[in-house]
Amino acid sequence: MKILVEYHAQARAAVGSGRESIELGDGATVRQLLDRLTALHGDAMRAMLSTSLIFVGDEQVKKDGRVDLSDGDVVSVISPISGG
Amino acid sequence: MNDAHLPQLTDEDRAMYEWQMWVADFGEDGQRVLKRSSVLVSRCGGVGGAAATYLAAAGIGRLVLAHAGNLKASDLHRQVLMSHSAIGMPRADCAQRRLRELNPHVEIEAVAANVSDENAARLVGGVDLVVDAAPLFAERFAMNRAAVAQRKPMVEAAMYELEAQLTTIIPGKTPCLACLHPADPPAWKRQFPVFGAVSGMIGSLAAMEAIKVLCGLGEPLAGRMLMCNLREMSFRTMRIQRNPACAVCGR
Repeated sequence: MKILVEYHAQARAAVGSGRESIELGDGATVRQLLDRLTALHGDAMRAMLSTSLIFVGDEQVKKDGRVDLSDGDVVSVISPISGG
Repeated sequence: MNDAHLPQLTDEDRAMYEWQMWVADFGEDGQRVLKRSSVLVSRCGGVGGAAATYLAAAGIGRLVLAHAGNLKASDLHRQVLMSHSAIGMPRADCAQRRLRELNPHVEIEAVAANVSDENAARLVGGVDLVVDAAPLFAERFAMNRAAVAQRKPMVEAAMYELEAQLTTIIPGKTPCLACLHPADPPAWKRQFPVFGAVSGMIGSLAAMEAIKVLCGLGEPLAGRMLMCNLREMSFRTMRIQRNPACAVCGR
């Protein structure tokens, strides 16, 4: 199945792109997606994911991965930002 | 509305706030609530300066502005509450002076310090609502702990590059800042890319959110986060979750 990952703020800067399409096997979970992103983008992504909020559609999900993904889901990675 | 305890409006109040009192579910009662209300704005830079400006213009009763340090040239592209002539001078004083020029009826307390564990409880305790527009997580966490402990609502505004976020924390009902970010994110740096127009936009929305919460108007972003991507001009509202094990507000 195909998942569209959208990166925001520093996560976008780390990847160098606002979004990318990821192919996963049917029944894959959020945890498996995050592991794939780490494998693709390395330790900087691992650190980024550890502090980012993760959303499937418009709903925040936990990163422990129990949420199953569906074909066409949009997953947002939102790194923490501040004022100034 | 039981309004016996609310301050009366003067003729000048009615003249100044006429257009916003035409908002049907705000009206004169809403204006009187604003006149009675007080807000702490933590840092009056790009985001907080815009929030403070619109709160003062709207006729908030009292503003507490917390911001340490002197104005630098690199502040001015976003800190439009400041002025070029004030470079090298205390930001809090400049903000206070400019807001008094805008609305002399607002009581303004300028605090030449950032919020910290030492002053958070006192600063939060003196107001009805907090607008968090600070750049460092340590001061945001200090404000969050004080706001949750004192059950004070806190509007959270943040920005980066061409993006911005906004949410409203209602202690006991919504996620608090520590639910979303339990620890200081190591990748976050004090200086970061951003356009001034991004900070002004999200600061203005923060002021609107504060007015809504204080006056019971509309639907605040309680348990929701507004995500603004100005690169694409897309605005989304996402649902955020409390953390039952949160060290600050956990049940």
